[in-house]
Amino acid sequence: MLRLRTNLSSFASPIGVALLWEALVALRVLNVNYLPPPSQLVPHLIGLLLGGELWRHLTMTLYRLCLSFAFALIPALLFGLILGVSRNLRLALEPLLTSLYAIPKIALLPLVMLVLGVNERTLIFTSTLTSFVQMTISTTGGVLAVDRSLLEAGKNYGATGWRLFRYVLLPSALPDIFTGMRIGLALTLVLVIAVEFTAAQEGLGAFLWTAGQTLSAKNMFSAFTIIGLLGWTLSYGLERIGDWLMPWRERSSAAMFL
Amino acid sequence: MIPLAASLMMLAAWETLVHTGMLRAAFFPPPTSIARTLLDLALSGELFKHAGMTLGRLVLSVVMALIPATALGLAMGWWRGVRTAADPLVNLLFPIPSIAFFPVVIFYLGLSEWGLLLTGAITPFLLITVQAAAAIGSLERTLLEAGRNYGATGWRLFARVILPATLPNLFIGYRLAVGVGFIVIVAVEMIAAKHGLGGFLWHSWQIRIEEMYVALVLIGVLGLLVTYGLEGLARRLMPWQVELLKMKEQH
Repeated sequence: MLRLRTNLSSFASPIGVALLWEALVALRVLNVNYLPPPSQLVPHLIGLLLGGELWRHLTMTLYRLCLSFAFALIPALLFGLILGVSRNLRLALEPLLTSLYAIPKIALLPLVMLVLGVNERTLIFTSTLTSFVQMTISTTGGVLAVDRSLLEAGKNYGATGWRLFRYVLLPSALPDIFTGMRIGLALTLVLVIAVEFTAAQEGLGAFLWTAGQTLSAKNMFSAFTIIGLLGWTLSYGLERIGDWLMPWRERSSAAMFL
Repeated sequence: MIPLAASLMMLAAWETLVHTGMLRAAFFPPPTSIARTLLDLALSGELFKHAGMTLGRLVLSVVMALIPATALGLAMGWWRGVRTAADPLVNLLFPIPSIAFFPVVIFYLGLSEWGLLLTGAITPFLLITVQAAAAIGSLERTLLEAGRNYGATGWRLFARVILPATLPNLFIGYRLAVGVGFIVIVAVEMIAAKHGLGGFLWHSWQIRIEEMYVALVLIGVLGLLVTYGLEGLARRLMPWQVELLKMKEQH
């Protein structure tokens, strides 16, 4: 019962904002062409979805996101694990990785464009790099943060090599690795959309940008809503999956919202 | 020792590979020539103009976000009513990719300086709000009780007990906000500005490749500064909480 009530109250203020918006437009305080109210936006969004155009853009953005994530995943995990275990390699590559980590990856786009040309490969490569750097660093951090006493305990119970890795190291590093994947995906989504603004004809970013530039408020809000839903699904959906896969993990509120 | 040696070796390898023709100088100009361009641009003052512009935008947008976000977040943590009203809205907006706000903002404000600044301020605002609300949530009850027993109420309780206790958590939020703000500002500058490091980067890659690398180096330096420099500042400002900060860093 309590649960139901909190759920209801969490809808109250968004609904309040929507109603206020609706009322202000009806009273002509807000211009309907600049801020079309929800009662016009929702049918428009449904129309766009049924017409198939928005789907095409969504599929394109999803395709780019998934492809670059998939390219980055295995190399980043392997590389991160190796860096976590080998101290010398870690020290040697630390300056390079730290710099790459600190540079917003979109700043590397011109360099990649120069080498690969202005095409789809450039976009995919830059996105892959974004995911790769984030996941490598999180994986290394995860391995480094493994409690030494856990490792000792594992060894004392006779775990070595693969078994030590599989049953001790991996379970305790997994939460950090997973957080890295989630942040990696979120940052990659930011990058894909930013690149789509200027350098692509298709994709949600391109659709949003064109809508804004051609002063089509309804299209703009529709694209914005879909991008928001995508971001929403990625953050909250992945957190849920993480809770389900790793019931042993502890989660800090800051990490949840990075 | 190893990090320095390895970096120098990589730079030396780069230099030789270019000179032996195995790396194309048109794409990867040798580090010495990048350094020379860096020096030229620094002496002419152009470099500082762009770096100062980017830094100024970052500071302005984070400051614009910081004060209202801290106030809102603390209020959300302290009063249940504020939380019930604001939490759903913040949670709704928070996971939206920061850059997606840009076309919407310039739709209303036009392609102006305010458009850039406001876009840069949105995600920091949401981040700080969430973190400030969480900071009140993790406040130790015993501290509050002790403060009250010694007679602190109202403003004194806030300034002497609540603020010092929540400051480390707030600061984590500020640090993350500056980091995210930096990414957004550089991206927005690349898309829509002539000046600033992002704009400089975008306009230089087709003309002089060395200048593009110089821009990258500076973006990297600023990035390192906002990622790691603020940590040192936190240690300075809050010596009473160093241990706590260290613990949080590890999580």
